[in-house]
Amino acid sequence: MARLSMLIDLTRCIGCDACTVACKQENGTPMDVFFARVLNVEAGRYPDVKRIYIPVLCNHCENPPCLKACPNKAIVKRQDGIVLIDQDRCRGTGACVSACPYGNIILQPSEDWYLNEDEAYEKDYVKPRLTSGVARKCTYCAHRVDEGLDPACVVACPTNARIFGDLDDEGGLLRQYIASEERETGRTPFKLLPEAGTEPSGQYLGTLAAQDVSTLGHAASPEVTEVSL
Amino acid sequence: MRNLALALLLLVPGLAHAESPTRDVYGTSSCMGCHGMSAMGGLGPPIVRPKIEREAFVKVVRNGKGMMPATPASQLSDKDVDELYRELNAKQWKPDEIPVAFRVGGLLSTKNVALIFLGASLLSAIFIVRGINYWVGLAGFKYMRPALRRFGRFKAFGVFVRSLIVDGLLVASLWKSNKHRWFMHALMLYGMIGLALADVLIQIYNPTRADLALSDPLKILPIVSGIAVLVGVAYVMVRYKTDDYIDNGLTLGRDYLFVTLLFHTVLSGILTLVINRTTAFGWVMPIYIYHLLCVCALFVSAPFTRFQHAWIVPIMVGLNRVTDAVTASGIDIGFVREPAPGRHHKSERIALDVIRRVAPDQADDVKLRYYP
Repeated sequence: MARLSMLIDLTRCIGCDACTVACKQENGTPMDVFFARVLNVEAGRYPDVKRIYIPVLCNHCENPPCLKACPNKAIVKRQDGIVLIDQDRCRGTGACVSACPYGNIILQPSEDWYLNEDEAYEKDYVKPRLTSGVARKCTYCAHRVDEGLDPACVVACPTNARIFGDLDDEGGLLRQYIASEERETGRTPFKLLPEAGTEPSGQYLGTLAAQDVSTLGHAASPEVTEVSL
Repeated sequence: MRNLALALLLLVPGLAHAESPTRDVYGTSSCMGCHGMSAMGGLGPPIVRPKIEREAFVKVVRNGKGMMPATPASQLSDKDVDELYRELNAKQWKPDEIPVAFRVGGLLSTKNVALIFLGASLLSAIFIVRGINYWVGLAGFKYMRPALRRFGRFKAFGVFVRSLIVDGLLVASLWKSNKHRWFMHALMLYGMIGLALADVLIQIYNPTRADLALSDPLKILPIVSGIAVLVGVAYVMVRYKTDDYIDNGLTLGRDYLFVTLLFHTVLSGILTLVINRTTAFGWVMPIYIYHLLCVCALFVSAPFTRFQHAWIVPIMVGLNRVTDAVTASGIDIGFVREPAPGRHHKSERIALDVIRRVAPDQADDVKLRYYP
């Protein structure tokens, strides 16, 4: 049984929003609906300031509160850990929207689209695949994963900040990356809002600024390049 | 030899009776059939040393009470009833002879039942508040406060209460999407509200829980409500059996617990009422006790079963409406400018959480930037 997970390396993220756009294109979401977002965060006071980009998407929690909150049993967790909102069962109650501590479920009373009604992209490609008036969220691109592909945001990321894989696969890319980062940079993955008890499958690696400064002037360790992405 | 002495001793009162014959009204009346040889109870409760006044006693004998039939003067004269009252007061209270059902039933005085339910309700209330706290915490309501201050707390409260009524009490989302399921929800929701209301009204207007006629409004309300809940819950049970997708892999056991408990509660309640009016009234006490146990279990388990969706879902939807209202008002630039409006407070929470880990020194001033 697989345990799919996405690791986001905050050091690698440059805040380009390519994932946001790739997700929009892949899922054909209407206006104001973003399954993958990038938070643009400023921290600290001048001159001690820092900017961090935090890509956020559905965390596909081990213990999903949205699933527990749904009164219609429209949210399901697959064997591989992907949490899906059944678009046919959802009745648009909206309990899950509040229940998600990460704000990654979107329910709109009405929809706006980017292009004109009669554009082929909207009319024939996007709208027929979407049910309106129901809650939506990131699916980890389940339709792509089932075909053996990576999610669209992962493929689109120009800096390989997103590493998608199976946590149970010991030789897999994800486990390799986590192990090598721990060895090389001492970083261990953390999860968002652990106090919420949701046990997200999405993980993050912190920024590396401090270590970068300390290694200035030294040759980069050849082992760092071992992991090819 | 001792046996002989005992036999002689027992004969003495018998002889005394033979000398001045007093009639044994109880022993020759139909009362004995239900209330037992020594009036310490059988199918009916013990009636030795009745706790009621003579007038009330006569009234019960003449009119009957609950399952007890009325006894007309043609069967038992007024004089006999007076004599009966005297006899019963003269009889000895023999606790060992009280049937088990009434021994348990005796503990279930109105006061004791009220105390048990008060305890169960308090326990339940504590966990319900904890549950609400958990869900409101997930919704990140704490992080809404600065925006709410600008929006107006009373206005936000108004939006929330309006949503509780429209989305909660009227189940608006189901009304829009599926009338059939709305009706089943209405049966259960309004049925349960009716039952709760009936209980409060009975507590006010009939605190001793005396038996009322079927035509009494205080009887009609719980019966109609009970039947509504029973129909609704029976429908849900059928749906649970036939719906292939009812198992979300996490809550099915607790869902079944709620539905089953509710079904047993209402069914045993209605059975108590029905059997009380038939001849099988020996079953009344056990079924009534089972009913009370079910109600208690329903109360105590409420914060952990499907029951809690009845208040959690309206609260969560209410919080959505408040967030939507804040977003629509344009009062907070974050809520307006973010790409997917309405989640600014949750994004801020995430940002703070991440900064606290990766740059704890800068965590005292964290801002989200949106570029329109």
